[in-house]
Amino acid sequence: MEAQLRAAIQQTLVRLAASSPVLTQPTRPEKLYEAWVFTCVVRALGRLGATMQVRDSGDNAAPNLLFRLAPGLIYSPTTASSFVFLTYNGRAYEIHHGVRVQGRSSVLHELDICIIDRDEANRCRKNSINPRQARTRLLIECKFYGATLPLELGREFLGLGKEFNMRIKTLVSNAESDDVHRLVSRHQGTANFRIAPTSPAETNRFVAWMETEIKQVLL
Amino acid sequence: MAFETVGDAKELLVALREAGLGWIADQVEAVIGQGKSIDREFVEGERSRKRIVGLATVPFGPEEQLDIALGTIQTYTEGLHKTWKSVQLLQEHDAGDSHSRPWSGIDFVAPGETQPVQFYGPGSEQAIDELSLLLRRVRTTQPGGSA
Repeated sequence: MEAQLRAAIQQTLVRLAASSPVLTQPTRPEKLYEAWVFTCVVRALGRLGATMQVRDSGDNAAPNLLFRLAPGLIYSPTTASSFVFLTYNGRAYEIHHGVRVQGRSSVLHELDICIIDRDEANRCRKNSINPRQARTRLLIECKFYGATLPLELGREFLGLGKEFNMRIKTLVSNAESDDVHRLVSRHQGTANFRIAPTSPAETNRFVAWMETEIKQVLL
Repeated sequence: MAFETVGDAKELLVALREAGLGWIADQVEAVIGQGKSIDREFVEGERSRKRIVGLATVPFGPEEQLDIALGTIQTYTEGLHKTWKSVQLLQEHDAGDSHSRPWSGIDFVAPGETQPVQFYGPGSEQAIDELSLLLRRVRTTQPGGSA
């Protein structure tokens, strides 16, 4: 590479880093991607005709959806993000992001996106406890990566999947990996790769898939 | 075992680290360090001369390494910015469907804070566009690139 070109790249990267707080920590791109996948889930529910409303962490109607940049507890208003209250087929649920949920082993796991039964969420807020996996209808792990996904993410996802008995547990990523796909598929998980605004066709396919799957679990 | 990053990819990693984006460089290095899997055919047995295919791990070539580095940088610059824009637009595909937009906006808040974090500031978009052009020049000046 020519020295002049290298210097120009260097200077531009410095300017970019200084003007883009999203790039200062690796967790921020992940959170932004999580928010984007959240909008895909909401899109799928919208197509199903679900009624949705944003609620703040205290369960009051709110205009904006707030994403905290760290995991929180559903009953702790200062750590929990806001959520979407939804009704579908006469039943009520909540779509959460970044909350801790109790797995089969009673260990708490942070779920990037999940749908919890409304009465379970209310019970948790009232009694300051965490939601149980049996009352969780869907879980999505979101991974934003620059290149291919590392295999350990597949292994982690398998471990998480063992903790949750449900139909929809999926790994969603803007990147892809044949190894991770093989590993996850082999163990009854699903992986949705190349899901990003830069891949509208794959994204539309993912939203359509979510729509079909959600219809099966929100009875 | 970790394979070494070489050539222009290595220079890009240095540039990333000097700009304070070492975590992106680390990610590129980790991918390149793992190498890639290929089928390797070999002959086993003195008499039978049986041909067998095994799985081998080999390093990425310099051009493949450069592709990984450039692709990663583009994902975290152009790709991420597009994701942010899409979140801000609240899913442009469903612009007319109010069911799909139960919020007025989406805010990101750091733990313990009340004010939203601004992910991009003035000058971000221009820097991303300029970087994109520069990275394209890196590609086209490579052997086999369409300069």
